[in-house]
Amino acid sequence: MSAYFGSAVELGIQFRNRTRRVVDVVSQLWAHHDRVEPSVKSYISTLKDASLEKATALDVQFDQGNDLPLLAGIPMAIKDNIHVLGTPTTCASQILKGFMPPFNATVSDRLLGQQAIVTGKTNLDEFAMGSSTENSSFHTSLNPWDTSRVPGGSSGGSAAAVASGQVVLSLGSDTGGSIRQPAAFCGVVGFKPTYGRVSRYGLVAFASSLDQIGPFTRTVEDAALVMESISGGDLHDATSSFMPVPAYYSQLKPRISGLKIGVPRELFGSEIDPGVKAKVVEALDLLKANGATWEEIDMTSLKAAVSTYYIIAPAEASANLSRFDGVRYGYRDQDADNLRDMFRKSRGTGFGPEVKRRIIIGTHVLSSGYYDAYYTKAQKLRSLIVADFAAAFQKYDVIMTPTTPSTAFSVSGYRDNPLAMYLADIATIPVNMAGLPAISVPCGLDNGLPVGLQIIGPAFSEQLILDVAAGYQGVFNFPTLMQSPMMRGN
Amino acid sequence: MTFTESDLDHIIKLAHLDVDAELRTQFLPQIQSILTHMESINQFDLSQVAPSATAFAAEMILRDDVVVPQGDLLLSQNAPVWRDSAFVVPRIN
Repeated sequence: MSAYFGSAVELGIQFRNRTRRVVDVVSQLWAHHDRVEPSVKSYISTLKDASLEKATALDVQFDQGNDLPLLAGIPMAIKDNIHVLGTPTTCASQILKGFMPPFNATVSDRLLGQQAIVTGKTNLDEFAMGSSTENSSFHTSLNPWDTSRVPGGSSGGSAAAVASGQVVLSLGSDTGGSIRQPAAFCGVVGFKPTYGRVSRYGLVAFASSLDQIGPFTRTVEDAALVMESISGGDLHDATSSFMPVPAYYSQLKPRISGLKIGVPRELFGSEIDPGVKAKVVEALDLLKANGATWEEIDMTSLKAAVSTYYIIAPAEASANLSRFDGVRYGYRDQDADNLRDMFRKSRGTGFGPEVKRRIIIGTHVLSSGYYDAYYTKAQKLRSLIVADFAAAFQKYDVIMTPTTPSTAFSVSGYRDNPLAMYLADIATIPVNMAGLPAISVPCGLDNGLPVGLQIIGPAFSEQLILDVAAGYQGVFNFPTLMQSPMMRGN
Repeated sequence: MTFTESDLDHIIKLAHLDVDAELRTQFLPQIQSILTHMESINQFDLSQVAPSATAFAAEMILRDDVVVPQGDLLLSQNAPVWRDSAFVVPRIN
């Protein structure tokens, strides 16, 4: 029997009516993993034995007719900057070599409480800094649609694992687009929640005012199901919101008719590849044919969103990463003869080039004489970006954009030009700056590579975004139309 | 603003980093071009705009001030050098 490439929702139904056994599904996925993983390299570490043991135990419970949660038995992978007790957290960095987390992240606790089966920890750019996984200190993950190309980043391993059919869903983190961009590149659904909707406890911090955890799935229903499970307040994260969590999955109502859509000109001009733009226009016109309206709007502050982000995020990163000093955990240079030397040598060896580059930029913009010129101004621009979105949502229900300016780029395509790679985050970064929720859904292929449509809503409008995405999925059946070659047996 | 070699040296020292000569040579023009691009923020009149540390002000939820069991923090397992219930580091000087 071939591996299961459907949705978590359908799989849960089949587990309940016993037309599929959990252990069979997990075994088949591991057999598929053995075939495709050498070409994709989505994982840093795997939990094969533990996942099979858990699958066997869950089958006993299903056989007994026990009432199990909807995610029970669903195989899922977790980005390796999110703690799972008993499994190393590396952040794809040499500086965390050998580190074992002493607790579960809250999202891990919640998903394990739902009896989901964790299959392993997925690859990422070191400390989530990058857009391709090329900054991982272990290996570069590759795109299941074309293995000469990157899967995106930083959560590229999580996206590639789902798109290659190795797991049904996965978790990533999104600081400037790190869920939505790889979702777009790999042709899967990627959801970035409102800042505070999902606890960050147990997520290794990159930029604390921007980071959020969210799911990669094949369908919108699965994204709703995961969001329902992981959202909600957490006393371990003072920035998490205790606003009630809607039943995103059971209340999901596909919605298109009457929808007013704004499309910012700043994210729809010459910076977007014509092939990508054409697919997004097709998607917008399909929504229009089904009763929505769309028009281009001006949001001028978005022109400076990338600059704003690359001041604020490195500034916060330089502070957050100061904890990696070789004293309490991780790599230590053993040859240093004094404390300062130990800090310098441990960090010098443990961090890769991109992390060093961002620490330097962050330290510079926070340093005396530059703080007001860069950091304070960037914080003011964040206020303008927030205000621009608030004004747009007075008139439009949702904002839509291409998720990325291009389809997946070639490995090493931006090797010597970090600024060019930063600029490729143009459409995803404004969402993080404004703390908003957004989803990327597949909207077609350009030269055989997936294109993503980004749907952005007001703060805490997760249900609206999921409803609109479900509406789009209803008229453009991407889960069936857009299976990667690795799920079609090619 | 120009980002010079001495700026780079100063920041590397502040950040407790070690950056080899080859990487320094790469970093200098790259960081200069990134900082030049950042100056696009100067096209906006920000004189009347208040800075935001976060996207929106949310109520800060605090835990009750009570001791709760921490469980095993794996201190000795994760420490590079651990002796007599303490992290061991080289001398300050």
